[in-house]
Amino acid sequence: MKKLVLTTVCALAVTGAAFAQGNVSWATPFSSITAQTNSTTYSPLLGGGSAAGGAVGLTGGAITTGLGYDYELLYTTYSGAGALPTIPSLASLLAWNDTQLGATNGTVAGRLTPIAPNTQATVPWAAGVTDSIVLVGWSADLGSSWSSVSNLLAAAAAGNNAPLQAQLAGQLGFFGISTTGFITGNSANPGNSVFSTAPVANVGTPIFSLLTPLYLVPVPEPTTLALAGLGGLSLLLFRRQRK
Amino acid sequence: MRTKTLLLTAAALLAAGITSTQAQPVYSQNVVGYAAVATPSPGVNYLITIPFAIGVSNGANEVWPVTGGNPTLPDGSTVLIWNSGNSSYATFYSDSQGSASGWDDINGPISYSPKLPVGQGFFLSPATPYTNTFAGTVAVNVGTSNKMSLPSPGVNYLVGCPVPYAGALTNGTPATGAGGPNLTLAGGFPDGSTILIWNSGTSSYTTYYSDSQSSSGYDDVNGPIPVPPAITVGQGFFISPATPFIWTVGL
Repeated sequence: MKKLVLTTVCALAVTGAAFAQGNVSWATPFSSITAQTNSTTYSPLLGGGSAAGGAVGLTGGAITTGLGYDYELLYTTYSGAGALPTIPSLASLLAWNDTQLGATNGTVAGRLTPIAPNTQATVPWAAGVTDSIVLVGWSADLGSSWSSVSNLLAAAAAGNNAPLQAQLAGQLGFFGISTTGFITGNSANPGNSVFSTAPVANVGTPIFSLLTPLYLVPVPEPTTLALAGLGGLSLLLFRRQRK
Repeated sequence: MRTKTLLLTAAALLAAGITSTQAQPVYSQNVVGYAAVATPSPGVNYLITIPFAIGVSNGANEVWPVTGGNPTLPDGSTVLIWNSGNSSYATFYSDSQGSASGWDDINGPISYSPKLPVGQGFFLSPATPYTNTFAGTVAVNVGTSNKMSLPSPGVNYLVGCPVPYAGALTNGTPATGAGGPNLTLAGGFPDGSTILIWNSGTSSYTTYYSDSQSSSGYDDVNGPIPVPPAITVGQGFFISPATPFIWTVGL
């Protein structure tokens, strides 16, 4: 009997440790994140384009009125070497995990409004544990959730553009990521802030990139593909005639 | 003639003295007062501050003294003191029976009383319904200003107004802070700073941002708001400055 009680207690303790969750403060300071679209430059993560140039407009502002924007906080294991450098590829971004903390564009141009803002929002890592974080943002015409948008982007990156074309149906889509940061989960309320205006000693480097760019998502036009096909066909015909 | 001159001079000096006295009223340098801060629900966390200098050090034993063998604060009440360095709380329990200092921490009786200095906010969870009566001296002398340094951007500081003011956070003379909390851009409060106001009813914070472009000087999470956030006497709140900030409050 004693053994059974001890085993149960140990099992409960282990379960508790395994599922212990930390928290962070999920409320966006009004100046530390300003999202803007770039209507002519393709996303560096999705093929082509540079980090500069092109006409820009703040999300929710005059240029992009009519489009809603969504954001999601992603995380991955912290290497212990400070904030990660720029994420090099879409494939590496898609390997990050979803915290389930989301936001939309606010009524103020460029501003993010957290969904269910909470100074003690639960994250999938334990109090005292540090993880790397990044914010992804996209125009709502790409999809309403990160899982659906990430599936579209993954398919497009693999050469299957049909789902992306069908989703956008000729509209412009925008996608981008913030700078990376890292943050320690907490057990107190308020938790450590995901967004801030500067690095914070002892608790990590929150996201503090001004003007997070959301770039145009490249969608190969069907007409372009048809023209390319016709070109190939004519080459074949030309070759046959010469023979 | 000499007598008449003397009398006239004396009268002139007297009049000048009266005028001078009227122009520069004389105050006592130390203003005493008290504030009643209600914490009516046992087990509920109230975010409060002590806006007076009490005793020698504002120790919890001076704020809530044991009188006639009876504790002022109900035994078993909890005080949470924030550490902005590691974003955590130190927990203390009032214990007039089992602890010589009148206080325990999470490991048992301690030999000292936690300090609750003017300008610091803290949580109090009373063991039974209780109204705190804080009586002491206003820590800021008349005609002077208190300056509190909040040096690290993004760090949450748990504070209280060092002078017992009630009203909008934007009240106060920008240069001296006289007349209110003075949390405006003109008073040096950086745009984009965060204020967290605790709601003991829902055990949650309402988030505000200082924004000089907003008509009220503040936004909430959805954008500009028409009325700035306000505090009551003895109410604590969090400030997370956008850039290093020296908070000036005067009397």
